[in-house]
Amino acid sequence: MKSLLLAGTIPDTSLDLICGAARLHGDSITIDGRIFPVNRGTAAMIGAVCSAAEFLGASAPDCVIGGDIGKRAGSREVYRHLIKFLPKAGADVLCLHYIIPEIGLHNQVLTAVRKMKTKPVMIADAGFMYVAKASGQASSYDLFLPDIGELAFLADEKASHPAYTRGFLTRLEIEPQELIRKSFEHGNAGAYLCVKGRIDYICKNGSIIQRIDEPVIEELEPIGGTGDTITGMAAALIANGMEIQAACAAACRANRIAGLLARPTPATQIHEIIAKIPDALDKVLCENSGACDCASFQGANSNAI
Amino acid sequence: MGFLKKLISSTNGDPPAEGSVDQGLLIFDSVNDVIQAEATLKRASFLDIKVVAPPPQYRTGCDLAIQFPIIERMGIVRELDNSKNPPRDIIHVNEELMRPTEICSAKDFGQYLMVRSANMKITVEKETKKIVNISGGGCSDVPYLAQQMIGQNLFTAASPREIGYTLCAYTLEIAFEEARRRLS
Repeated sequence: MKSLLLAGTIPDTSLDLICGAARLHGDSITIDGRIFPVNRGTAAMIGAVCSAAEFLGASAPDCVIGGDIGKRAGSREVYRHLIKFLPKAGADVLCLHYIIPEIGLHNQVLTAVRKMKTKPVMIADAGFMYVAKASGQASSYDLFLPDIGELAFLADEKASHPAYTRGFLTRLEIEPQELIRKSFEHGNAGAYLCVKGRIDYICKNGSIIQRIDEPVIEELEPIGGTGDTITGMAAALIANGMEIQAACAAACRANRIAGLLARPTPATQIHEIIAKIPDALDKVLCENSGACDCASFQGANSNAI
Repeated sequence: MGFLKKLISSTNGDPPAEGSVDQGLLIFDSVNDVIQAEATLKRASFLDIKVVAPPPQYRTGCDLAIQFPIIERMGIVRELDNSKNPPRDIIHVNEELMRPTEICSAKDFGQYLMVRSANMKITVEKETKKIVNISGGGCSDVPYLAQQMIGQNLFTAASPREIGYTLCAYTLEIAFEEARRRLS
């Protein structure tokens, strides 16, 4: 098992910065004795990592978490901690998540990563993905996990934040290939992209290499945190030794199955999905073993290209 | 007028196109300051202002600025000074600046309506008007906004514009207003 470091922010104004191993307890996580609800964002990502790691028999992930409701102070604490400690850290996989984008501090984090003894697998989602793209340093990352709206942002060479994305969102679900190609050609994507949507696309160097489209659970789209759980499961699987493509495909498929098992409505909250991750991963890893006789979940699991 | 800052050309120094109105740009320290300034100026009937992306040399990755006709500079600066929210800088611009998207799409889930703007989504139970989910985004105030708004009535909840701080909040505001418009 490789060591996994998770970094991001949680909306807790009483918190400056907290570091330590995270554990999941029902609908909350604990880090260094502090309890945080798993509602969405980085807390949901950590919850999914913990759930997957426990299922895999892996150790609990290490976390660097700032308390931030959007006022930047907690985000800056996270950047500064990473800048200071990453050169001495031994993380094999780094998963960077919700944060206020600050290009200057982000670039210092990358400098710190380059000083690490061994370059970690670099995963970015949410604010860290935004600032990686805005800084022009996206190609320093191994994996981005955008949703379909964020993919349009990565493809727009002029946009510095998804709020400035040009173009019609209604077309995105139909023709993502062009946006994926543009993202990569403009240097605005990591080597791998895991595009989360009605169809999930796993991409490498600007080309779609795998689609995951079943089971279809329409109700997952409005639920806050369903993208964060894919990121968390992918990070946990990569830290467990799985290749990036396989980890993303398994995470996307497991997320759908967890959703199916939770019987969601658009009002479902993410901890109800996270509770189903062990069963979902069990099913997916069984399918992938080639010797699975589990009952089928709505047809084929994915389409490698 | 101590905060009146330098008036500079933001790009290549070319004069504005003939016939165009000279434009200035108000630079603030945070998106929330911009949101407040925009509200202040609109209340004071400065209607030709628009929120835009600042030019590259001012960008941090999550920021907005206010573009305005330079001819209105004195009045605008006075209004912001009176509201204790003066800009950090004022610059002259002669380029087309990007504006935040205002495109929304909606998806009907029967009992629920989901409205999306760029990377942000809000979902409301149609009958009760209760906000049941907020998703998308990547800035740190998104989980905070979800904490504050989920379970609240769409028409009495504090808006993202009032309690948010980032461009994600600004985008959620657009979806929030569209949801209100569709369910009113």
